[in-house]
Amino acid sequence: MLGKSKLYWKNVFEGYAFISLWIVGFVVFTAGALLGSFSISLTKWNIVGTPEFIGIGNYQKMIEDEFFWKSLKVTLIFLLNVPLNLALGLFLAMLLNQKIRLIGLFRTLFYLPSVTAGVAVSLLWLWIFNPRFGVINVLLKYIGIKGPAWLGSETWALPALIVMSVWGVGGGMLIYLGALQGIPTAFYEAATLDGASAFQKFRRITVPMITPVLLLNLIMGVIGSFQVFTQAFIMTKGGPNYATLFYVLYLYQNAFQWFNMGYASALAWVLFLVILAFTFLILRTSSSWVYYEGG
Amino acid sequence: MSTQLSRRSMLKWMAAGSTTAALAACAVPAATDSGGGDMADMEDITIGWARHGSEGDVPTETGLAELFKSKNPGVSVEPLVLPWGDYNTKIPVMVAGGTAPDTFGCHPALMAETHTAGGSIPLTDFIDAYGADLNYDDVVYHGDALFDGVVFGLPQKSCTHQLRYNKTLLEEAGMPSPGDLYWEQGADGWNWNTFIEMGKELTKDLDGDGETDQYFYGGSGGTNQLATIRAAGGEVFDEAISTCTINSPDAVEGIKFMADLVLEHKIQPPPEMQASELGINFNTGKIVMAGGTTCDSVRDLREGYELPFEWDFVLVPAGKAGFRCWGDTDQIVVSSSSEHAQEAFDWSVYRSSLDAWEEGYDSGIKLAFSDGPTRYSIFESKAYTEPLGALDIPMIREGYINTIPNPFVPRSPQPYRVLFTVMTTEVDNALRGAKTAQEAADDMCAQIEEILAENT
Repeated sequence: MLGKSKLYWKNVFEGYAFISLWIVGFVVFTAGALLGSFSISLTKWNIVGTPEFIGIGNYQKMIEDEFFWKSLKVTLIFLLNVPLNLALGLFLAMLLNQKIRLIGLFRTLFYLPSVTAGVAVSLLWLWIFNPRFGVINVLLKYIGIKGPAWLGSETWALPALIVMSVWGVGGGMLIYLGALQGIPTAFYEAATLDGASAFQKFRRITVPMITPVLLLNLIMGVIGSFQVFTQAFIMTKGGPNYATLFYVLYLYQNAFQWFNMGYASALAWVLFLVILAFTFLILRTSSSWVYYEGG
Repeated sequence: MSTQLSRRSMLKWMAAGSTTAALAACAVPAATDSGGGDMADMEDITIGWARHGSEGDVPTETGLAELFKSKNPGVSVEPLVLPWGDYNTKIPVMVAGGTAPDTFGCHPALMAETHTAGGSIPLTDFIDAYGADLNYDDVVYHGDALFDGVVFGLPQKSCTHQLRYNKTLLEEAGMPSPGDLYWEQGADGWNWNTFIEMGKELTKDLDGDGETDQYFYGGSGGTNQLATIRAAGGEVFDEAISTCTINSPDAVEGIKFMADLVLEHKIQPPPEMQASELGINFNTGKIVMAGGTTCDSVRDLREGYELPFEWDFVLVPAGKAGFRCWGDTDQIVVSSSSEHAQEAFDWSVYRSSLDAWEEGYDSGIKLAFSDGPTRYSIFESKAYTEPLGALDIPMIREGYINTIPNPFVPRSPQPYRVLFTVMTTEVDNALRGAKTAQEAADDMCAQIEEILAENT
């Protein structure tokens, strides 16, 4: 350290000076809030009154809180949408990677839902899932099937929201499309000369080459699924009978409807740790299935 | 002299900017602006006044503040109107931080929380000092403002939750008006039985496709669910608020009545149908009766917003315990952190007064379309009777009289969680047939007992 040149320290100082505004922003608005929420998680606090220090009481309470486990279970089941979105996103990206007429229009149409406001999408799907007049049940009726009550059914409400999540597949699809277009065509030409079938090319060239993007979409999908809120807040309010009580909705209810800010902060920290664990697990296993060109 | 900024200078400015930003972020705003710095303004006082509402409420508050200032020279009111969600997070935080506005509106749950936190001051002495000029007996809903016999607020607005009925549909069907049944026969004429009988007549398949297109009743929200349970003689808690009693036979009878409207009599759409989203609602004339508050629903009488049929209010039908009506107030409290308590109280007196209604009305502010009456004398005032003349105003007044108990919102831990999450979820379970009324009530009590235990 002492052996560093004056120029080195000058560069260090200047580097930090250039990012100083960002650092202040991070410390005050992110790190400060994080530490603040952790300290609040050790208290019983209804926002209006004085916080009462209860140590790890809020964390202990979670163990006995049936709605904590219920919301965690609902959210974990909702994770099923991730592989669904990964597969469908890749499928659509491959379709939209063809050189056909109006391809720009098709790409826009498939991408559009993923940038539509969550509230608008939720209201639209409320209609689609309506048990009597919704388009799904009307179509089912044509083939002689009486559709379920969807959002009004304890059994079907969560699967309905999983199906609805596919509506936003366009975001991941676009990233796949970028990755697909980055694969050198020489690979496919060489494989064709060697007599490889379309499936072999897909399995041996396409999939390995886009695994970094698969990893990205997987991690983003898992994080996004743990944070799902809008659909349940708008469409089901966590019902019926708590069948769609997502973790973040329960957290929100505690924080802003019931003013259990200490407990809500503890819930937030547990969510952070759960997401961290999932992300860590995915990254740890990624070395065995993600291929990076150049090692 | 060079005008080019050197890298060293730029870094200095950035460091200074960062420090300033950090200090600005840590700064705590003052509770109130106590006027300008000029000597001439030294006598002027500005008090903060916050309420929840929409953008449309801003001109109302600004206009009333101007009327107040004309009577109280040197005292300005600075209104802050926030949407419901923001209000319920910002005000508690401001109360906790000692930076609450001098006066602010409190719905029943916020009122109790603010009181428990010592965020509001007792007003009994202030009221006594006003004496006859204030005429406290004329003020509606004392219950929401009282804690151990001491007054902590004056009403900004008060609402009852009643049922709206489509007069046109009833007349076309040759049915008696619920309002007439109430006035002519009381509980003998307007009760659960007549409700069901009328419902069977007016729930119809209009196009003959085997599906119901017109329902009699739109269903109860948490407010009218509680009114129905109480009309059956049930109660959520015992008097000491230490035990849940909503699984008592009387309360279960009330829950069963609500469930039967859907499952047995089929005069109310099932919850899963999302009828309202499909245009089967009161405003489209496809629901004969639906819940409505006497503060919000009356906006349908505004010019340009009228419904294509005649409608009116009636109380939730009587159960065996008689009529019960949800009523509540937003109370104006004086913050314990206010440095201008007297001026803040003066504002709250004016804001809840008949004068504010009438002077506001004369200057184009129609409180009848946003605030329910804060005083019984307002029911007689042109500020109320002229905008709402098409309605049965004595019926609206009946809601205030039948708000039993008063306060209607239990003074329990987390009352809104109990009523609008636990109770509504379990009643919904009963309405879907997923649980019997007794099972739903037992599950309600299990959850409510947990909430009680958490907060003991």
